[in-house]
Amino acid sequence: MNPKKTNILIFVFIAILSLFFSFDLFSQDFSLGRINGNFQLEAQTYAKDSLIGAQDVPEKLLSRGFLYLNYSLGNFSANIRYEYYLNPILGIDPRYEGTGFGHRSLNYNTDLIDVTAGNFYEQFGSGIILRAYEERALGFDNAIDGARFKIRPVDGIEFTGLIGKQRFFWGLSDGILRAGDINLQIDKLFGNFLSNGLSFSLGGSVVSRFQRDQESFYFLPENVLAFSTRTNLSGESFNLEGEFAYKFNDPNATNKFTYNPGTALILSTSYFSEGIGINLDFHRIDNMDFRTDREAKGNNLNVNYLPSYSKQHIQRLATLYPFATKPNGEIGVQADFTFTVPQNTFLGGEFGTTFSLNYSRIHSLDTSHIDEFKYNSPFFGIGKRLFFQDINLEIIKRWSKSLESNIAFIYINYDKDVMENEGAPKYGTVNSFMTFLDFIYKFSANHSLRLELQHLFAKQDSAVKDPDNVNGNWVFFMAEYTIAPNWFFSFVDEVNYGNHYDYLRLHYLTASIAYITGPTRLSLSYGRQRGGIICVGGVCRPVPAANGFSLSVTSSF
Amino acid sequence: MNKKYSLIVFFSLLVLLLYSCDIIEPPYRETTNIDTSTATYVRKVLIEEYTGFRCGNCPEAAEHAHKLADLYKGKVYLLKVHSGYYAIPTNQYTYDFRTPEATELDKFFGCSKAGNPNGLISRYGFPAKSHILRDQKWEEMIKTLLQEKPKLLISLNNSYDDITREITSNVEIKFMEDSKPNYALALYIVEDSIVQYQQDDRRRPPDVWDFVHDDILRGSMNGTWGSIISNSPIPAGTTVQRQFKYIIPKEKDWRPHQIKIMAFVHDHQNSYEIFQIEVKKIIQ
Repeated sequence: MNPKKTNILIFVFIAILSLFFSFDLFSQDFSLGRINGNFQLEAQTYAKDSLIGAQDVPEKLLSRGFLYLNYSLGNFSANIRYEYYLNPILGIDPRYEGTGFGHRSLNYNTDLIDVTAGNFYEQFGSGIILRAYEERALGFDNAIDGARFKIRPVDGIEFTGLIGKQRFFWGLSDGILRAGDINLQIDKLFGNFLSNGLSFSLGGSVVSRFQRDQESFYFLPENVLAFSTRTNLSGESFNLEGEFAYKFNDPNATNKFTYNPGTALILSTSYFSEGIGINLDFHRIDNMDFRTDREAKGNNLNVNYLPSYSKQHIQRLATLYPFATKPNGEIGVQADFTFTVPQNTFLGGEFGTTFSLNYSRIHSLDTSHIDEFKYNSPFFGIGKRLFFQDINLEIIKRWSKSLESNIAFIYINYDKDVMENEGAPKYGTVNSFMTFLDFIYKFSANHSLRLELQHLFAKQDSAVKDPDNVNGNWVFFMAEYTIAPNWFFSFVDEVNYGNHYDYLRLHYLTASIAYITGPTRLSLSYGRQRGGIICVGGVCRPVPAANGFSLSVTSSF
Repeated sequence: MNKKYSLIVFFSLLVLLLYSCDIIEPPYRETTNIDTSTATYVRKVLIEEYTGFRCGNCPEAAEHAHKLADLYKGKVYLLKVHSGYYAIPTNQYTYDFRTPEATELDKFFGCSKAGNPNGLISRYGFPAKSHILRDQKWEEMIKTLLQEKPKLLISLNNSYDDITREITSNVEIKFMEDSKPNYALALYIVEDSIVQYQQDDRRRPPDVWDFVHDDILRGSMNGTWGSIISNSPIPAGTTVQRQFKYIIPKEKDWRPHQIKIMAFVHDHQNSYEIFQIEVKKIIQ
């Protein structure tokens, strides 16, 4: 048979198979327990498109899928997740290639104890010394394989202890993790201590990693310890949070084998009342890349998670310049102000208007090297290098029962060398200004049209040495027609009309159709996808350009 | 579980955790002693580094490889395979280190897709997908493989005819254990001291125009995977001899006095593990 026909048949077969699986086949209750779960499938075809840098692949079609099943009976539960990467879609680490059970665990949970054996996810505080989680968009899964105990001796106290190794594609980390956490809900423990409506909590965590020192050139710590403390006070109209972490010497591949300790401080305060919300953040991170393998790089074997303290823009063109936390060192502030102008006023109109103003500025630390192994860094010293600055204003207004608009202006300074080239000079800083216009018009209760127009001015302050498909000005247009509650049709065109090289001033056209029924979503798209960076919560991965069909199916039961 | 006992157990675990910390005081650098063990027969080991001349992090890994070769002198050899994205020439950086062999190896072992720099240590761990190692992992694997008894020994003699540009390599293999039918002998052409561009992100600016590239894979005398030694098992104690010839094409800018031949035996179409290796210059 013609290979192209074979590939099309395979694609159709997968689509039909996914539909078959995605409905209620497994949704069953029976007297001996309950099974629930979810299913996800992604498939992408690849055609060579040299202009956008898209590769073809010998397989023509790459796909990955996940089927998660959870069985529970009283206090007992067991879960398993089957995964396949045949082969991994481009941008996902090729070491995932294969099929198997990537996750399985047994759990017993009562009011007093919670015991888990097998794979599990966990987070202490905001995750600055431990967070095990899965983020499929990033191809990231650092689940712990081992045992975890939680004890709640009285209401308001929870202790957690765990030991295990981390997932590393289809294997496990070299290093072993040992960790403990205590969380005290003071208002529950001492009810009279605080006035009504106030909530106060304290927490502390310890995490230790063991990994043998097998090399001959340096004395490396085999046991690396980190600890953190945290507090939170909140009331009806305010919230105060603080977290501090310290990590003892941990020379590793990402910190260039420095023996400095690591520290992290995060302070956050917010005030909110009717129509107003104010949030202020300060953070300082120094040498806090912590992994179960001192040699790991990229998004592999991370023990901790350092959240991003800048606005996570959802606008497509703004994702060209996203901020990713720099664990080796950064200091920054963020301020966020939201104000809703009441209805029936000059600015508020008939339905009210919401203004959101956000500012973030992140710098390098002020550091000076003592020798090749250590450096000085005054705790509140601010380095001269501006990593990232973002000033943005968003205005959401409903004009009538049928028409709603969202307008945004985003100005970003983005040190592309720091973000994408480990600080080595190549691109310089990109200064960009984006305008975003979004209109939704409802023709009837079921029919609506959404039009989105974006424009981005972008200029990098060093010469464009090598051709790339990102630099320069862009314009973006999207039209999405919805027939509620099932059908979505969209058409997108992105144009890099200001690329430094004439032949790369290209259109990226995509058409999509999506069908949603209950918990099942099926979407099919065809077109060019530009290369770029995808970020979730300040963790990013590069996405290569692609040209072809893309299928996605998700369901839960 | 009794609440009191559960608390005691938990705090005991926490105390144990707090002991799980090593604080290293200066000096941080170990005094390394050159490996001088004089075993008669040694399994020699290859560090096959996947790199690219536009890979800014690669020079640091290359330095580490050289340190290991010095530390285990005569037992550890290096091979630099330029392949993948960072080996593609650009308008500004035009030299092309790539070879068909390098590209084939990279595609087969999946190294550049896993992110340069990385390396294979005698291609150990391939079928189990644990073969791609970051530089700090290399020594651990080297130590393990050096402890193994050699399955075979290789003796290599090269000659070079300056007029015909022909390399002749005579290889003698002595089997210390019974061989399998799919053992293959490959001879790679490797060049030292090529002065060309290399990006080094530790420097400002990172452009190093006179970087000295050693141990560069230039080609092969008998293909990427070499030649099968015998279609039937060879008993322990047997010695086999093979001769290979190769004429350096005129268009190649290779310098014969910097060229060496790397001969190795590997388990072709099975584990692909390299069991033994020998390296010699073509002009002594």
